[in-house]
Amino acid sequence: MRVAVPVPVLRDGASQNQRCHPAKEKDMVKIDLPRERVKDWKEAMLKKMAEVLDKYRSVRLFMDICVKCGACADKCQFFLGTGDPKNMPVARADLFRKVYKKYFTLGGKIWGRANEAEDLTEGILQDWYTYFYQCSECRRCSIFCPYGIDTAEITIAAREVMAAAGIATKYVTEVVAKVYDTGNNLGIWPPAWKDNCAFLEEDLKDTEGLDLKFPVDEVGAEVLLVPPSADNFVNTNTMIGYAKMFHAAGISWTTSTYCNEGGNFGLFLNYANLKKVNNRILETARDLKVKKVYWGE
Amino acid sequence: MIGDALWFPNLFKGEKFLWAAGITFHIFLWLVLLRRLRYFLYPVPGFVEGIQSLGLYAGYLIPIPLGLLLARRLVEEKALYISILGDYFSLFLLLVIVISGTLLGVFFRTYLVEVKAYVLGMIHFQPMIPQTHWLFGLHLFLVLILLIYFPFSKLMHSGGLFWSPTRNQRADFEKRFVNPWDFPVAYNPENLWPPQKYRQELAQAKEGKKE
Repeated sequence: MRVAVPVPVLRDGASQNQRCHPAKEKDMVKIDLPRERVKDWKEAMLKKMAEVLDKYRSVRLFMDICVKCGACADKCQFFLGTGDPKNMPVARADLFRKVYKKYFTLGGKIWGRANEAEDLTEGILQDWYTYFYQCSECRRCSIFCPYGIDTAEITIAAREVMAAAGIATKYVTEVVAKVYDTGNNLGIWPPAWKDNCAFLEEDLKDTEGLDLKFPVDEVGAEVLLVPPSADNFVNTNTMIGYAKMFHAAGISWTTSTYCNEGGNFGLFLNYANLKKVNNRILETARDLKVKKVYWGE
Repeated sequence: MIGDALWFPNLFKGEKFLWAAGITFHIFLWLVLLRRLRYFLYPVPGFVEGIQSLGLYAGYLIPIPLGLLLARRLVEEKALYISILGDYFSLFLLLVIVISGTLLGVFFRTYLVEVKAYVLGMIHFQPMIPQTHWLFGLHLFLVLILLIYFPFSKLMHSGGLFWSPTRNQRADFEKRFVNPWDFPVAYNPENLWPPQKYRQELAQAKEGKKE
């Protein structure tokens, strides 16, 4: 049964104080971003913005073609939950659109505020940081948009622009840095991963009397399994399920200590890190000489 | 995609009222525009003759969906928040045009033969000045403004739809997509795996030595 969620009453700035913690220097260094917000952040951001608008056809188009019909507004869970008008997908995109109009379109340069164009100021940057990190990139709004405008694309672009100026959140940068350190989001050390697998083997023998292997770093297996790292840490039943499934199917498999994370937090940060995290799967597959990669999140 | 442009199914999913007002407005607008062809074409094509009365009533009724669209922008809180000057401008422009047109048709009857002579005169570079009410001048002037404004504004929305990447790019997993601006990435030397601090422990774990 469908339950209609009532559209909340607009409360300006309702969630503007719910902000993510800023990134720490030690993480920013590891993921090749500026240590802290750079001095000429405005220039850095505009330069990155020009690059992003060139590269992503989608972003520039979504900036231009929105007609502000408002169909997306009450589809965003962040708006429904907070009632903050800037959490409506269209208003969230408007934060980016203001700056885009000011620096990259003729109409915005000529008409200025009458065309909703605004300078990139500290206030706008604060809004960007607050509201672009209040989007989970779920893309629900794109289903209801008559244009198929995908606000997640705009969020991704905005975060990439901010990251170029050294502005990011602690949660995302920490997780990406952990992947480079330990191979997974949770920060499970490689020895711990091996230990856990050995423990599961023993456990399975004790409880169910099954003699199954949880191979780690085996060269020449048929399948490289890249599970969500939590499967070997909290949802161990799932990990046991993998082993049983592979055993029943008669497929030789292995996990890796270098790359055992299917989730990619680079998506929430920027393209270079997205690529690096994904690249690890490819590197591992080549190192271990597997034929297939099973990859889940 | 053509279906998207003709009856906006995504909008139907999300906003029934806006969809209804929008589609009524667009149907009426097409009828009115097609009816207008009789001013520009001689001899008048058969289908234009056929929709004359339909177009006439559409012209009388078109302020209703337009008014609803405008009222929605002003009454609905979230729509009011996101509306910008351009949204109101195009709606007001259209409203004044259709209302002045209706007034011209009902109260200040314009001698249509003269209008047609005027338009055809313009097309064939033999301009003449028609003797009409000033309201006709206003109507024509605003229509010309609209035609100038049209290609530079959000009124081009049906065109934009065909460029939208989520509409015209379909996922095709059979074909490999090569990123045209791909660039190599390198790890920070500090992160080359396995970090020094884990090496010994990893070797121990391999040999099965546990504390």
